Amino acid sequence: MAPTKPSIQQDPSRRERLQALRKEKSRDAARSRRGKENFEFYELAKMLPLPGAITSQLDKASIIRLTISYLKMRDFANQGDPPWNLRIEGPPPNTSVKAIGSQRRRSPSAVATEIFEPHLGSHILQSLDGFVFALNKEGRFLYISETVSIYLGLSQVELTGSSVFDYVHPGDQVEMAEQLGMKLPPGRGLLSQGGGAEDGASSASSSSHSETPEPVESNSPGHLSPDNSLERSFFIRMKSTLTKRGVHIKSSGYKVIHITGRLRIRMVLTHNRSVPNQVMGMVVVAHALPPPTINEVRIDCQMFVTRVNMDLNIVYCENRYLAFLSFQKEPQVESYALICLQNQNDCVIYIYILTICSVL
Amino acid sequence: MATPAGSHAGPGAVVPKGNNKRPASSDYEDDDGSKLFRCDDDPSLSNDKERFARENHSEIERRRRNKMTAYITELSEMVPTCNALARKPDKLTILRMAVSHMKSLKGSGNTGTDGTYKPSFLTDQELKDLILEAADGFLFVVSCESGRVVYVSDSITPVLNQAQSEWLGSSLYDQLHPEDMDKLREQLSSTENSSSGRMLDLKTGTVKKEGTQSSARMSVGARRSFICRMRCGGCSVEPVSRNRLGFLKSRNRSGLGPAKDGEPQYVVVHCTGYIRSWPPAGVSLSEEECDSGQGNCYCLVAIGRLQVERESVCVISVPVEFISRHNCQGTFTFVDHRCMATVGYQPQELLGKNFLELAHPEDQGLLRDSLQQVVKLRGQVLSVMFRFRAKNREWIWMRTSSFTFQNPYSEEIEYIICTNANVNSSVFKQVELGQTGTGVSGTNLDQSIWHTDESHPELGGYNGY
Repeated sequence: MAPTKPSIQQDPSRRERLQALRKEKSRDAARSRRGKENFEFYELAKMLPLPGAITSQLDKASIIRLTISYLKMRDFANQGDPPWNLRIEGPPPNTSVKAIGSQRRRSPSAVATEIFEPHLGSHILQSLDGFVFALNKEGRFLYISETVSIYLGLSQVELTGSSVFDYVHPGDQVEMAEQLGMKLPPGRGLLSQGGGAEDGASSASSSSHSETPEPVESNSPGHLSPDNSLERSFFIRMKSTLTKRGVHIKSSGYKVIHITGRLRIRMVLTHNRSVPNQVMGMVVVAHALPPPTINEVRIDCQMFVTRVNMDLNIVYCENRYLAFLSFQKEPQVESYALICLQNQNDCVIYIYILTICSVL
Repeated sequence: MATPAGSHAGPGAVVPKGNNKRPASSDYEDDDGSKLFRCDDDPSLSNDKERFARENHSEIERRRRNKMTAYITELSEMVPTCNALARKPDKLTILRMAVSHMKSLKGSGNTGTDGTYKPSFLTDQELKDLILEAADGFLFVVSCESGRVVYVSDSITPVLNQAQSEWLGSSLYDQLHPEDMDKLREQLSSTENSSSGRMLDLKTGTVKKEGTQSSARMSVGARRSFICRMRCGGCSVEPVSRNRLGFLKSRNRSGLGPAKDGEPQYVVVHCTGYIRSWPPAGVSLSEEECDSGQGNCYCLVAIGRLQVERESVCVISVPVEFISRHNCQGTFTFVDHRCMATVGYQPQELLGKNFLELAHPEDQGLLRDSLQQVVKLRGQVLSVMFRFRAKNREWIWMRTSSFTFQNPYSEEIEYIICTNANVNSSVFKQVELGQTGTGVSGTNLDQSIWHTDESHPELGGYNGY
């Protein structure tokens, strides 16, 4: 509709019509743009390594969050030291079915290789008694195994790309940050003003307005000591939807998790000592203590039972221990023990101790 | 990412979209297809409620838009073609480039050798490497009947210095310490001796005989978990940085001490796994593999991971702390019950006392100054370390973090909140104090660093974090 004389100012109704026309055009443009964007979002969702039933239900923020994590994970895998996805070292063992003589016994192994290698990932995850994750240096989950749902009741989709601090008890966030080699911002942790400090350590809400924690970079070489200890082993409480608070209420509680893992540093081509190591993040195997459904522990032939009081003095010990411990020589004993403490706040603390005795 | 307050759906939640049925009013907003419930659809709401809902709604909308913008920017940084452009492209272009980048990556991705598509964030190889790095873990499969190793991943080489070919087909019993063979037999056996089936009931703490569990013991999916000593080999490991044993030896961490001459080195390995039927249906094997002959065999699929003594585990420190409230003079007005565990007093013994009375005379000046400082700081956290006289009359080092709590209306200070923690005195003795321009810092025994969050050189004391 071309504008006709008289001029626009003289004809209010025509002005209105033009305005309406413009609005309609912009609406159409917006709708069309949104349509195209929606299409790309769902294309992106289809590219995610998740079953179609899940990807078709994702909201847009999640699609992007998961895509970013996937891309960052590639980086983490390929640029760290040592890089993953390298070829197998050395020639593979002879698994030929046509092998003769003493190598004939390998043929069942050839079968096994064909059966187990394609699904190595799922065998690994199923065999573990915990779940696995990778964090970047800011504490975001770049990867977390599906098995986290067994131990914490949380979903891989929810956690991937989120900050680990959203799922760690406020009282343990400082430790988590220290182990990662970073500093918490003021909004996180117990000592935030007006936050959980009033009610003590059992406050369960995590601040939803916290900023991204700043990673402490190479100006704090103390976090990577000169003999380069990258190993990490510590205990934190993580959110779990499987623990019940109160008798019949199934709400989000916490579980004590034993984190064992290693910091991952960026691959450098020169080993110049004056260049500090750049931490990319941490890879972790996490165990929930105690295992979720176990009320009984099987005692095998090399175990014996002791009872300790709250001062960790042994009050009872089975005689079987004599078969394993000899005090004539210096035994090398590493002990971890399973103790269940319950304080007045109904907060259960587990210290997992496993006794290994070796007699030299 | 922070969840906007008031949003009901978590990330990934299913929220009805109603794509084609949106009312006309929504088209004015560039809302990326909002999924939030439209309050103005409900005619029963009053105008006030409607207006409030809309305002709250736009607040939520704005936050969501900001989050989305941040995400899109982050995405553009991860996509190489986006990065290469001189100007930041628009949202649609970024999305399109991301899609094509993902296609180029996934093209080689998760399709297994048998042609099945197996979507996963990590490939098998990557997961294998992750387990190796995080836990020194390798996968192995052993037949329950014969103890023969049916499969082992190549990760065994960096972990035990054994070649894959050394393990494949050998008996797992040969790979363990002789004294652990009984334990392995027990774990792999399908029959139970009545004498060896003992269970510890965690709820009552009693030991009892294994009851009805034994039939479920050897069934598909049953779990196993045990510790054993495995023999190390002499295979060289490339790259050298992956050689876990070399690392362990240099730090004396295998936990078993040095090997005697002529005897092999052993390391402690945790094995966890599950029982699977073997061989799988339709696969025939030589007679050696399946002694029972009829395919009733089981195998154990397990991860073996090294037991490494890690430094920080030596001191399992559960921080003992308690919260107290004080007036501006320092008198205890509230103490939580954990003070018993920390300093030995009952809460009522502390109420009404001034904490300065219980502090070491040498530290009282410092504490008086910090008290004044806390009041001046009005809500900011100040930390201080001092000696506190415990109930048993010993001096204990405490680290106290305090801040004032103001009445939000009158701006008056209501009280001072303190979190008081025991500091392990031996840790403190090892602290090296370093003066930097912005405060004091030190290093603890476990290499963690503590430092001030404020610079108060005039306090002249130890400010802990």
